[in-house]
Amino acid sequence: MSLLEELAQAVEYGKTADVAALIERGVAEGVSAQDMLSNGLIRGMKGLGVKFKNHQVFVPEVLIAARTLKKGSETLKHLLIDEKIEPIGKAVTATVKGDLHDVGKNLVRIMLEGVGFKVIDLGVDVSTDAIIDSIRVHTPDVLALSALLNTTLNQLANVIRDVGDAGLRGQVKIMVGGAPVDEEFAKRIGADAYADNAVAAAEVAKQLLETDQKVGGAKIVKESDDV
Amino acid sequence: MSEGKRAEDLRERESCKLLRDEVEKKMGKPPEELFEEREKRLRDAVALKAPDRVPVVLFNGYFPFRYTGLSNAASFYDPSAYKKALIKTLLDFPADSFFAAYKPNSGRALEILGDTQYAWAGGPYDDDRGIQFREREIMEADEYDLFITDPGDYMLRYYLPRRYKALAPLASLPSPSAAFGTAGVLYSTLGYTPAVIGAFDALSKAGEEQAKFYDCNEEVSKLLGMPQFLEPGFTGLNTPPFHQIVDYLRGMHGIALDMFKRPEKLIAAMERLMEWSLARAETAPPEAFGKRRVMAGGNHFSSEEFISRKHFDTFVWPTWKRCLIGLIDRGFVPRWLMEGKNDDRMDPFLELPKGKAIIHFEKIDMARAKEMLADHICIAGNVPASLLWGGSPQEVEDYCKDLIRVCGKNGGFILTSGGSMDDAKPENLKAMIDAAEKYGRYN
Repeated sequence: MSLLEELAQAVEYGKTADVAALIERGVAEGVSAQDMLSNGLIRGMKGLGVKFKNHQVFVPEVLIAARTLKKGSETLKHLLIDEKIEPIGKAVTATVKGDLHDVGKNLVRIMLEGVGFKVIDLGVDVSTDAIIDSIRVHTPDVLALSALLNTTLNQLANVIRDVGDAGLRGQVKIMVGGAPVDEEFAKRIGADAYADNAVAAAEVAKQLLETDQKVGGAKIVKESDDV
Repeated sequence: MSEGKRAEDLRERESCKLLRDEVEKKMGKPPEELFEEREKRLRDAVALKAPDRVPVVLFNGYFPFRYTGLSNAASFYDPSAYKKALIKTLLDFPADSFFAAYKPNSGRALEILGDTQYAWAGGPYDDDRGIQFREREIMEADEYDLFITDPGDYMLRYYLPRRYKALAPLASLPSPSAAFGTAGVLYSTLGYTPAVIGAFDALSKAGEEQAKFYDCNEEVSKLLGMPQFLEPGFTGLNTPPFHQIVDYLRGMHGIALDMFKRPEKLIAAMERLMEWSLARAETAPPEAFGKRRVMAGGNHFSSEEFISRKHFDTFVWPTWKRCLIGLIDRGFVPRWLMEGKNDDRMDPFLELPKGKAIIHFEKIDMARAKEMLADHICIAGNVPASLLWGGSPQEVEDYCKDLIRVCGKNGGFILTSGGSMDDAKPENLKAMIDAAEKYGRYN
């Protein structure tokens, strides 16, 4: 098994200590940090994403893998700077006002960072004003919003409406997710994209950077087949 | 007794009498008779017998306050308004029983304590929000042994100070075991600094505030002759040990790690928690048998969406099963809510004694649930909250008719919503109650 395969497997099984040792070995063997991130850590998380979709693994397995991925990415961070790897884009993440759930949102943040985004996480119970301010201040490419409750679902629509009213809708692609959200709902409220899990969310965000579709259009970016 | 107090008592008695007359006029029976009739209906269903008709239960949520135009915040801060809203709702929707879920809680008590886990309307929340629970890692991964050795000490000096801001000074108390020895108890008083006394003072004030709400449901239940579906305030065993650890001690992230990194500690802590909780569940008096229906948790982090069946069998079921059997042995009727998808984890419930418990389903194939559990456990559910909110009365009636036809067969079934009915349309709720009468009569 190659070092990159071993890294992927260590992420999949949530073996944080193994990841640290493998990165050290990779550096000694001259493997690039970018390679270790994309073809090691992220590949492992993608593999787990497939298993999650097929009900072969469940939430605890994903949580410990995400923790391992996070620690591994942190270790690689300074090496990526040395390699002069620029972030592929900027993303703002938030759980909307009235909603205190953050497990899913945090997984999305970790995955976005993993695929190369610089992420500004606004936390939970975030007001529309704070979201609008962050668009003005940070000029993100992607705004990823989460809602976990039936009662806060409409807040996703309110944010999209208010971002439009503030004249900022053209500047940012908005993606939505969370247990009660589905593709149909995302379309109806004028979101640019929907993803049903954190691994898919990172892929969808990358595609949003590449797509030149009109914002708020009916077309929803689909997650790629290998996720 | 002062003149003012006497007048207030008189008014109270007068309004109770008027209410009693109103119930009797509307239902054709006095509240006491209604109570017995409704209670028998529920007990028969639990015992897997066919009652006179399928019992129907209101899973209140915040519906009473929305229905009567009261803000959710008022329901946390004004016990008298809370009671009025409940009375008006239960008079207008005469089901067999009601379930108040998280209510009533005093917002003032939560404020005094500085609760960091609950967010509620009128406190950290807008007036029209409900209550939300923030699970977090209160217990560190390396504190399992502390907890297992002495859960009582852990609660006093670690859990309470970390969860409630006003109780933070309790962390500085000496261990209760320091009270041994000739001067032991004197030594232990050294911990009673002004800050610690302030914490006990806060606890006492919060208790006074909560007491104003505590009896509201029971008073309304008696006045209207409508039994409560579940006894409130029973905290002996209200959650499976696995979920007590997820919710109150380690959070979802923490327990996920523990399942892989320190499974033996997690299991030992759950065993300890199970024994510890069971010791608090006093035996129900024999005459109360069948009445003491108690909330026995649910499975919000152990359904098919969250954990594998293997993990359910390893971590959740063993201690939960012993808790449920322990409750049943003590004369209680446990009821638990199966949230989310649970089709692959129904068979363990066949290990429980027959006709002694209620499983409330949120979403499941109810026909299959009936088929599997019919001779074993009473099932309750599961008119979707979304149907009560967005459907038409005809759709609700059709859904209930179908449910009663399939699940009501030979008894052992209680008609209710799958989740709390916060935003139900009043006409849909009426359709659900009417359906029990129209389609739920047994011969």
